[in-house]
Amino acid sequence: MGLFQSVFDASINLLFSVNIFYTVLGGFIGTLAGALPGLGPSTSIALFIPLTFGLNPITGMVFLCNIYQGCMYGGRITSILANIPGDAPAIVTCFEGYPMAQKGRAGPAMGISGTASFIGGMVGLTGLMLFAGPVSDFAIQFGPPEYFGLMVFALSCIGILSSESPVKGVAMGLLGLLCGTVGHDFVSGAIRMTYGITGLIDGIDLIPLALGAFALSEVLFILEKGEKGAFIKSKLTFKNLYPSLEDFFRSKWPVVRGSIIGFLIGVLPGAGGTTATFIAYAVEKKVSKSPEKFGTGMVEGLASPESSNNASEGGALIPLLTLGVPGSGGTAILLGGLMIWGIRPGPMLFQENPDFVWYVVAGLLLGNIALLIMNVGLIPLFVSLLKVIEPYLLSAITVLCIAGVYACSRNLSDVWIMLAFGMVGYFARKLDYPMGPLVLGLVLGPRTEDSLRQSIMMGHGDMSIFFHGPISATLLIVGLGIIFYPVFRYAFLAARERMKKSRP
Amino acid sequence: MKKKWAERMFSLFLMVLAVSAYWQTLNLSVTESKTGLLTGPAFFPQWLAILFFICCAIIFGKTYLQAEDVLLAQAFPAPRRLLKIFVFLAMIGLTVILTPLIGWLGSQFIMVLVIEVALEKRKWASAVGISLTAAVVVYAIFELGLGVRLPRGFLD
Repeated sequence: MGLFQSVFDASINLLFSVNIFYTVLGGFIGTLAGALPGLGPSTSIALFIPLTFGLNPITGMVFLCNIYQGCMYGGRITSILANIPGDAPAIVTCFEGYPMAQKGRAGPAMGISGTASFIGGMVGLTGLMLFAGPVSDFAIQFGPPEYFGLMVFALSCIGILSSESPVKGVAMGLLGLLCGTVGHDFVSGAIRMTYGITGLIDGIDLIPLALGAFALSEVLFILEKGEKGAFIKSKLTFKNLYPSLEDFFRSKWPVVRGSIIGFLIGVLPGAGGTTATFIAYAVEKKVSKSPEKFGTGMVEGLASPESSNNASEGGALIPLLTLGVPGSGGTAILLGGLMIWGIRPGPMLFQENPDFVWYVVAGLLLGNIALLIMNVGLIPLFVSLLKVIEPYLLSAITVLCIAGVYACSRNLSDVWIMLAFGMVGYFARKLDYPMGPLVLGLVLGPRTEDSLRQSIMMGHGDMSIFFHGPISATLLIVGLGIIFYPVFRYAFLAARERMKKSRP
Repeated sequence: MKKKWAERMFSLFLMVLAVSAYWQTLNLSVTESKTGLLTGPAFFPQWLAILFFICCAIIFGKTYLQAEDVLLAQAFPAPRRLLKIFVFLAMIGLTVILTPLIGWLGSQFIMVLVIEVALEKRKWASAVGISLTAAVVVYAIFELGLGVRLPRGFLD
């Protein structure tokens, strides 16, 4: 009961302070950003981190987490109304949401998806409350070899799962790790990988890299497409917004299944909301008595992925807060924000600063309630706002990017770094290289190197130290197995093919 | 440009990046001088550069194995659209150069004005309004709201 009491107390404190304003504002901004095609959670959080520097860490984190949460809600708006997903997890929402809108049921689709998102979010947050403590207690046993194993496991998972081509995901993760080694080496004092450029001596910061790779590259995509103002066509009024009782009844079990799937997948590094929604949709189709009707506006196929998307967010916060290992590009940027405020997530956070964790959870709970109200009741308002904002998106993102990067370091050379990553990000995304592993690699790089060095010193140069403990050995073997699985599979299939051909 | 060639050129670029990263570590020590253990500043980045190179080489090699019809999709837009991207990037570069000279407000105003007129094809009057609003609003948020002192150019 102590746990729920702590969250309840934190909720009351948040409710009667300025934090509630930032909770609602974060959710509002997140919903708008999630609805604008291309602006997912990673871009939105990266854009708004510089604006939180004047806030205390709790307020700042509650604000950013609610942007993250709001994006999960917002992505569905354009999916249902115009068949254009606001972000990657909302792709599945198009499958049933848009056919519903075409049949004149856009309102009920909005209502069902909003309610399912709310329930999924609550399940995810309850899971976070229940499991974060035990995971952090377990993680206290971790030494440098275990942490190194964990980093390898996390990077291989996100590398493999974040792209259709696993090798591209791993390559981006390695590039991120390499970026993390640029600048001063704090152990030896040596200056590394700067190519003689003075602006790189202090290393590559998260904000220029994230804003370049996500926000600036997105601007380049907007410029390339040259299409604007065409994505919201359906008319929506307050009158035709609410689903029927039958809709709610049909979506009851899909929401339960979707929430559980979303939470479990969210915990895995790299899997995130997109994977969760696709799996939830596939499961729903499998268990349905009329799978042939999927794709024609089935409420079940809309409710389940929506709940899994929001439940995955609570799951993703478990490795972030308890182990300091983010599971996606968005949570990697959240981790960067925490580090900027001087907070290092990990098992010690629960020992030294438990209030911080419970305030963040309480902020998310209150935010989820506010988001339900906004996303069911205020959809026509969001649609109108989106129409106003979209034509000015290009200039707005550009100016915010430059100001945000400058505000972080007070150094214009970081804008050049952002520009470079913007160009690399544009070409990389064009060729289906994922950006999440790049950010994750940069954030985890210094910690991975520290763990490696400490482990080598602990083992007096003996590399077998990584296989002495069961946890580090398992994590390393599984992590490396994930990376090399496609190679083994390819070799196995090729060998089998050769054997078949050689048989008379 | 076709996607296959774009894929090859980009993976080659990444391979060059990996080689240059490896080359950057060559003047540093792999081992620590006192203990002789593999904890020197070059050890970790050197291994990363090697692994990164291998990954990029696999991506490069895969372009020769994949089916033509998948790879022959158009990867990049028409030259006219690419020119817009180039103009936009050049504007950001120019803004970084101009900011220490004419200050934040001036450089941002010019940048947004050029973007709005040249790329968004807006009328001069509304472009001036948008540029002024964008520059002033962001200046107010960062300088007045967050206490970040933005460059004032020759007034500094």
